[in-house]
Amino acid sequence: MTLRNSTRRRLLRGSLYPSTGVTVADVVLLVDSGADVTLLPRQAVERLGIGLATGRGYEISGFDGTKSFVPPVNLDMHEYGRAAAEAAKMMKWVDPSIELAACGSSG
Amino acid sequence: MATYGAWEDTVLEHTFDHVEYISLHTYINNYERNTKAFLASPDLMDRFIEEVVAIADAVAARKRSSKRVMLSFDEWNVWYRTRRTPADRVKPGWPIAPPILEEIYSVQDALVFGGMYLKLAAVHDDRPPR
Repeated sequence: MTLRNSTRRRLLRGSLYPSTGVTVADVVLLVDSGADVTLLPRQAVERLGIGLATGRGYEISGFDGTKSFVPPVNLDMHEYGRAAAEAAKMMKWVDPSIELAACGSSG
Repeated sequence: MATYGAWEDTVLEHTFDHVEYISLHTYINNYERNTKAFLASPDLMDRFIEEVVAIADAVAARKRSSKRVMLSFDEWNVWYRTRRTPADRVKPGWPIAPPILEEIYSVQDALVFGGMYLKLAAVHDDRPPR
């Protein structure tokens, strides 16, 4: 996607992105928000009203070898679709010129 | 994923008005050590592309929409990830640029990679994957 000037100004004001002092030029970029597993802050999970799944957990291994355990939540395809639609609306409020891809199931 | 097909249909049902693309990913390996099947496996991408186009157009039909969701084939490769053990990939401390995703490839892998690229370059109706 290409960031328009208005978005860049908003980004550089610090509301969405910390100022780096770097001059930003037009760039075409792909932001990939999808992953096999997505880490969510517990506070966000509580605000979304998503219940924790029981009986399983994920071991998170850091680049430095440290390990931690986190509980999983499961979003079914309807919940994911609704969340993705709301996220898409918010992203286009920030910049209507962006193009968005919904995450498929990878076959 | 086990929900392939149903996932694309349901997610596009919710997001149809707000997205321009649906993403497709394909990673191929030769764990079965079957050279013929491995070299032919890029052909699976044709069917994958055509099926996702059909699903996206079915959602458009239900919504009586002329909009056509395009394809974002944004992840693909020959990928093993397990030819080196995690101990080989992750070193103690904070190593600079550790080679956590680098692969050891064979010529056969390269041929399949080329086959996958040709599948992406091929024209699928009016929807060349990007």
